[in-house]
Amino acid sequence: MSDLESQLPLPFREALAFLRQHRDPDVRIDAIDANFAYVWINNLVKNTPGEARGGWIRLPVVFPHANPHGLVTRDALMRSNGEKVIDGHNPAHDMCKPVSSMGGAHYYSWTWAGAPALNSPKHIIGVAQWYERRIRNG
Amino acid sequence: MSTANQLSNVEHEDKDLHVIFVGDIEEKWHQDSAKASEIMQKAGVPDPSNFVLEALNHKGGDPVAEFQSGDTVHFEHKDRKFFRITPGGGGRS
Repeated sequence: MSDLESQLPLPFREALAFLRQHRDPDVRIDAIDANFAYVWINNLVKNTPGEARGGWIRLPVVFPHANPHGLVTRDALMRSNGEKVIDGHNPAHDMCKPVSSMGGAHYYSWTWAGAPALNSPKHIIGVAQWYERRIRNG
Repeated sequence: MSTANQLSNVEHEDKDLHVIFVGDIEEKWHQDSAKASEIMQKAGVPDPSNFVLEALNHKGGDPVAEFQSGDTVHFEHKDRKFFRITPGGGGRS
């Protein structure tokens, strides 16, 4: 377990373990900033074959008792028709800074508004899928 | 003759049977289509209104289509064997 990960509350660490077991063994914490952890998911699905998978989902350190907020990617996301995703797109936003040294350069300010309530560390699987859905729907 | 009829019935039932998977949960449907809400409820989601059903290209694969609760899923269509349930909703700040 990394030093960063060891700082996180137990429910968050349980969520990470569940995510590694059921989704991506290479999940890691790359930054903690302003009550949010930047969780790198290596196999986050994108829309076009030319895009590398992966991105940093921003999860509150008190997950699952607060909601995800935002996604950071290395490259701008594309829609399946080749156009850029514009919904909530903020290139070079301050939210990228915690992972900018690793290439984080595009912030998507997506919120959990209107999505089902989260109350279990296991819900992190649905959260990862939700991000893929947001990417797909642009 | 009776055995032949029974075999014929079995074949008929098999023809109408669609076995799908929602995550690891197996569902059997004796019809060619169903509402996404019904599929999600059968998989254990009591109130599927805030969720979407995603069709995958293979077990544990990538999503290729999504269905809102009120949408109809046609099992005979391509990539309608494996599904997952994903939270719906979402906004931006």
